Amino acid sequence: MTVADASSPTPSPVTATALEARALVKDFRGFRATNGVNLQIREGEIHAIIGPNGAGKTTLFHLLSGFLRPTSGEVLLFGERIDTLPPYAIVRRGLSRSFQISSVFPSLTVRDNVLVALGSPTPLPGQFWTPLSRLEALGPRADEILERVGLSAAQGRLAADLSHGEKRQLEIGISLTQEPRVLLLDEPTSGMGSEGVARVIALVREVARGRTVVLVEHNMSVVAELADRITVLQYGQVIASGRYDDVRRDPRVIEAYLGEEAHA
Amino acid sequence: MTVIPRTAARTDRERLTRAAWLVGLGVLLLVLPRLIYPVLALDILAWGLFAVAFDLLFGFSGLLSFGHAAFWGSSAYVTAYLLGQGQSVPVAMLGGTLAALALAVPIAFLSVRSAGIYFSMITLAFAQMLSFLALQWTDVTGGENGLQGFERPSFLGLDFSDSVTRYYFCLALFAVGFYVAYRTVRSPFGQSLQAVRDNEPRAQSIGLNPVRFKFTAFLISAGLAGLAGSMYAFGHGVVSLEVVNWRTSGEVVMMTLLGGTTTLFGPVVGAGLVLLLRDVLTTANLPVGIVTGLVFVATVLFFRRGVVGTLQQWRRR
Repeated sequence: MTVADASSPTPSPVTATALEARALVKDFRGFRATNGVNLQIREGEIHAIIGPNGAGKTTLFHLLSGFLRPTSGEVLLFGERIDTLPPYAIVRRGLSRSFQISSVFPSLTVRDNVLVALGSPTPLPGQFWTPLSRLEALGPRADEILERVGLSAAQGRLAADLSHGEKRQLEIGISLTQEPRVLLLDEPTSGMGSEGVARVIALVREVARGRTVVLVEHNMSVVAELADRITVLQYGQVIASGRYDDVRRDPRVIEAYLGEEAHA
Repeated sequence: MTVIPRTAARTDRERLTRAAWLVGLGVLLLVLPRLIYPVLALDILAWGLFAVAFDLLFGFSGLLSFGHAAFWGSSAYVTAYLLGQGQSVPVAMLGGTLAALALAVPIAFLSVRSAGIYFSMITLAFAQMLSFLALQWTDVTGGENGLQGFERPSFLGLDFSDSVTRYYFCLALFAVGFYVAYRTVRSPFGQSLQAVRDNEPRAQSIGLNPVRFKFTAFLISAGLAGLAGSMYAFGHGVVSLEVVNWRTSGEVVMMTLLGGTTTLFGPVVGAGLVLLLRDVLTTANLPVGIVTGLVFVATVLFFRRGVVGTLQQWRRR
């Protein structure tokens, strides 16, 4: 376990739970996408959420990050309820997320993408009179983050012109600017070739140092390589949770999802 | 690390381009009343600032207001009314601008939570309500007759009965308004605004509250549109129902698209082109609506970035 960020105002209790879902339910017009999910993410671990298509993984991510309100149940971040907060307020409490479809600011340069994210707590709407050069004070930190995600050479290009893999890297970089204690990654390797996958694995491992990472992932070799623990969803319910090697032997999981890959 | 000089060179060239535009436009506006008659020149200033204000919301925030006549028109009426009550020119114009700003608070509050066509329809609905009010409240607005014949008393030795003096007075106000828009866009706030426009969920997940940014941008835009409207009333000496008509809201959309959105200078150029074209066509007795319509269609089809946007793109090659 690591001490991730000392800036938290609340004296954190000696619990090792970073993020927790309690009896989480989400209904969409009679369709129950999330059906009583209980989830405990330990501080400092890499936790993968897997499950067949339509199992409710993305819905769960939206619930955890405030983009959807649960019908019932609770979400707790370091013991504090966050399920009634808007996304931007949750970010400020230390939980940042990426998106399934690469999500950057296309009309800004790579560097400005990072700068605007670094400056986001400061440019309150009242400060429209502040010159843009003020953001240059954040330049060294932007350079550091770009270096970390391997985009130093691309910093002057427009984000719209990046390759798919580079957008992924940038997206993780943007999430890092928030210095999240908990980072949610939605399918970080989707649509990538094997070379890109290897790079993302290295990157995730690198950024996971000193923080908790939760990822939704389809690629089983990525999960096997990265995850400390995994949770398997099916029909909006948790059918298994635990260490990868234990879960893959669970007959229900084999039946539901892992089957082919586990025996391949 | 070898790339840093290239980035610096890029921003240097951008700065140079910006300076060139600024100097070119500034010189042109300074000599404008010698090239065309001053009332038309003042019209270009007022509509130009109006279009810049509109583009703050449309280009930089991604919100298509179809009711900006509400701010332009309410300010024009209040300015004319205050002048009619014997107030001085600066007081009347400030009053008009503040009226537009005050009107924008509830409208922005109710509209910025919506996006796309819903936002456009809400702003249009408010503008139509105001238009109806202007028609009915004849004691203040003069109804169908509008407001005319109000005084424009001299101020600090400036004789406002002279149209050239009025032009240069408004040029100073235009410069102030344009500077506000420039500072807004070139600020961390402006950049965050563009981030919200580009990708709202992403902006939220870096801790930005989209509603607050759009609300503030709306107020700045409405305030500048109000300043422009007060310039229009002051310049013409007449305010009619046309200032709150939905056609006015549509006109500013056309000017902005013609000149080029998110270019800052583009909307001014667009306003100038539309007004000059209309002037030429009217004097030559040609069908104004058909020709300006065709020009607009051609621009949208072939020069999607507008005049200034297209020029900038060519220069970059």
